[in-house]
Amino acid sequence: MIPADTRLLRVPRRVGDRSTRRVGFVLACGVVALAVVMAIGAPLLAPFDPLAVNLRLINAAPGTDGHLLGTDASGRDILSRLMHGAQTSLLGPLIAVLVASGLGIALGALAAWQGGWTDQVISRVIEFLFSFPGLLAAVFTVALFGPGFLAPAIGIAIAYAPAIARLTRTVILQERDKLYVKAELALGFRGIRVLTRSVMPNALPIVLSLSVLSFGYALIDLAALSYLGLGVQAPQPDWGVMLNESTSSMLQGAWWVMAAPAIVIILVVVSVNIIGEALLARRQEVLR
Amino acid sequence: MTTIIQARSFTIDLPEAGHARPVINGITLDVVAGSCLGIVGESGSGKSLFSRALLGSFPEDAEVSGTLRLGAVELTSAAPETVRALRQNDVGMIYQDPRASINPVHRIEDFLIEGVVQAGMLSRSEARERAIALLRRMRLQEPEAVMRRYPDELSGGMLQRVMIAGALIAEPSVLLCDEATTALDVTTQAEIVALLNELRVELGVTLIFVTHDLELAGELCDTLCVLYAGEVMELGPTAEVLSSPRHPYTAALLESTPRLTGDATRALPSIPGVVLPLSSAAPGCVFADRCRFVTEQCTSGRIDLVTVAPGRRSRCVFDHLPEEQR
Amino acid sequence: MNGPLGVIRFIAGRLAAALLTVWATTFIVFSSLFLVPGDPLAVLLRGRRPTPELVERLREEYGLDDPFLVRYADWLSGLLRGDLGYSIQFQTDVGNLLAARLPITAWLVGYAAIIILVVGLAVGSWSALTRSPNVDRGILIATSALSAVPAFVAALVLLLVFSGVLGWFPAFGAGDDSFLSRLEHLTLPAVALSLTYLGLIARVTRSSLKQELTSDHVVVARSRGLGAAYVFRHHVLRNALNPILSYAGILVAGLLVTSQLVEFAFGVPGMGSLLVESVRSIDFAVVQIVTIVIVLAFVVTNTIVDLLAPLINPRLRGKGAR
Ligand SMILES: Nc1ncnc2c1ncn2[C@@H]1O[C@H](COP(=O)(O)OP(=O)(O)OP(=O)(O)O)[C@@H](O)[C@H]1O
Ligand code: SF4
Ligand SMILES: [Mg+2]
Repeated sequence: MIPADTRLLRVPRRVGDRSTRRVGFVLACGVVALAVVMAIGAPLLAPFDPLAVNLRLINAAPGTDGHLLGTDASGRDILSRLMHGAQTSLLGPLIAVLVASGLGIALGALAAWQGGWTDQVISRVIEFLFSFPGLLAAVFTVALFGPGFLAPAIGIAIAYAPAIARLTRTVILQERDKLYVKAELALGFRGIRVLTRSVMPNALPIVLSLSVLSFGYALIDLAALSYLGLGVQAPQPDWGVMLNESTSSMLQGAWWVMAAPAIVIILVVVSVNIIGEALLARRQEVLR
Repeated sequence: MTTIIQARSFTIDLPEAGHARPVINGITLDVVAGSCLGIVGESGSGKSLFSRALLGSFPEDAEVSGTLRLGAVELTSAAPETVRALRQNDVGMIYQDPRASINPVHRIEDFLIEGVVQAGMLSRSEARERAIALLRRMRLQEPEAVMRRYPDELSGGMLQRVMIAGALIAEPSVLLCDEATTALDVTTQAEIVALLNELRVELGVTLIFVTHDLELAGELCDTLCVLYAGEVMELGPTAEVLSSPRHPYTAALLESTPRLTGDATRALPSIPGVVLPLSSAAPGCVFADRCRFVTEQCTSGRIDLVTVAPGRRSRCVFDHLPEEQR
Repeated sequence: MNGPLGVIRFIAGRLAAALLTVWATTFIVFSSLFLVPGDPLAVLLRGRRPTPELVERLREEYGLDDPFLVRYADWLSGLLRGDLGYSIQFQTDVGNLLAARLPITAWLVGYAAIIILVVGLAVGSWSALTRSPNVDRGILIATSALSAVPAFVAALVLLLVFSGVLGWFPAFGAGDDSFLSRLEHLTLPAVALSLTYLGLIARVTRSSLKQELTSDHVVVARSRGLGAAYVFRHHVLRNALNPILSYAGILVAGLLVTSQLVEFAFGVPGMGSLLVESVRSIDFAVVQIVTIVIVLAFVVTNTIVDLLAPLINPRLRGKGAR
């Protein structure tokens, strides 16, 4: 769940010196890049068909017969499933974050720029939406539209939009009071032009850092939904689905079936967080 | 005439902070029990560091040398328990900003009595009685009601009175006031000073009064210590120091002090230049780069604090010269 | 907030805001069914054979033949009278289901909350008080890492290690009604549930304590010869409590929602797994009520915290709180 309070997202000062932080940042970018390559290149790179069942080789340990990460309870190649699974597992949160950012930025900018009643109403709605945790909104959307790939992502987007809207509003309000905005408005530039040409470019970087961070949380929430059987449906090789299916293997001692998707999820989420927090830290002073 | 505070070449150095000279450098002075010592000097001269040292509190990583005695306790080497006992029983301190110094979430009563109750000196009800008596003595109306209040419900002047009462509740022999009146308006300031004077006369408390304000020091203090860049520039009976300063720095300070009685149209002089930064050390006089009377001798070697008249000491080359050349 | 009138106005304001939020939730939860394109009946029937009896039942239940506002008013007044609707999946009143499932989830969430508070406060305090920057850094990294582990992954790992390999705890269910059986069955789920939020609370505690530790009044308290333990309890922790407490609402709602995952992983028959089952079987009446219960828990907790805040921090009183 994305914390409603963006103060929490700030990187604590002086944890790790500059060089170790830079190494962390580069590593994180590497992990994310690798995940993206896996997703896009899966059809070419995957050693096996992710859906090919082999009942003679179930829960095989990593390394058996060319299965680098082993096989699952149906004898399917785990590595290939991970690679193909990257597609839905990354695309879902991407859609969620894009929609949430679009909604949030539009609402926040509208509230900040219009002020008055518009601001009042939007702020109230934002506050109200904060009482719906992301996962709950997603589950509720699934209840309405049925399980699948898109419905949960939209639910997550609606739940994440308020945090982005609130941050956008704060940043634009701060920006609006600055001299250059007043000067441009006094010079007779049209308000919408000042907003889109001058204010937004200054306000967007910090908001987009929050969007990046939201991606990690959205990934967890959507994987959770697939894990519950409410998102991407088996036998599609989504990471959450893989975790769902790993339970039976685990009971037979084949822990690697669970470990592979778990580790991949954690790695990607931590990497995205590192990137997002680094971006946010660079803009910290704006929030003050 | 017993000496209650005795400092001998007392020095605090902070090499870790990258300072080129000690922040407190060779302070030597005595304070007689029941008297009032004023410590004046510009910002950064080390007034607060010295008064904290009297509480047995030194900056982290500080290298302390010389001696600093309070009663029977040698503060530079005292054990933590000794320091705690000293703070509980013998020394009280009041600070510039009472609003920041008192925890806003507890009632005034709690602030007043927590020290003596925690130390096991008094029972809760005894402490409460004493606190109410003290508040009354501080001229606070309806002390019982004040006890139940929270800090945010009192004015700055009232809070400073509470602060003083809190410092006095254990009946300490020394009261340290670090710019205790700076944050108050002129009328309240005068009232607090009058109160402190009364306490000294009636309870025999030794006062250490740290201030920027020479005039205020003149009203309250028996002895005046002029501090500059961590060193004592001049030390002597307040009246004499203020009426006939020996040291060029004291004289400059006096000139820069606004006088209510003076010619209102006269532009207020302030001492040109800034205090010698901690990043640089001076081979001779630390005031040399701002002094009107600077000579070559001033920067060529160490200048000691010397007795220039009975009870008066000063640190300036001119005080080292034979009488006829001064 | 001056005088009893101000107090009453303050409390009334908070309660009104809470009521408004809950009411808006019921409205959205109810009307969403009719906002979905297509026939609401189709949503309600999805995946089921539309027997005439079932269709009739649903028509009556949701008042599908009445105008929208009448339907809503009927449904809402039903809720207020304690009629929470009928579950077509479990063929019983939603109220009965909730009565059976909610206590287990409350147990689980309460257990997790205790772990979070005790361990989170302890770890956060340790990190704020330690003089070793390495310990502080280590704790910070560990708590950040914990927050990145999804609760269901934590659940699977705990299941594997403590139930599968070590066999210390049962892997399934909530046990019978006895305290010890509950404790035994719900320990692993509670730990899994607590991990994410543990890091959050530890970090909030740390930053909040650090801020207080360097405040003037704490320095003054020490300079008055007060003991270190007393100063920490009375002046540091006490003052740091407010920011920590302000996360209570997020914590409770977050735990209730996340308990779905943990209950699902451990086969605990609580409200969370009820929600999952109901969504899967498109038992909309149950989904509606569970959603409202979770939002209600969030709003109630936040309102309690808001009402308590001025008691904990007198500074908030003059300003009518926040
Ligand atoms: N803990 C510390 N570490 C490093 N330097 C310090 C520390 N405490 C004080 N100093 C330095 O020592 C010098 C004396 O400080 P002090 O607070 O005693 O001055 P002051 O005379 O009380 O000034 P003011 O009138 O502004 O209160 C200052 O230059 C300050 O920067
Ligand atoms: S020693 Fe020299 S520089 Fe220092 S105060 Fe005396 S005259 Fe001025
Ligand atoms: Mg000072």
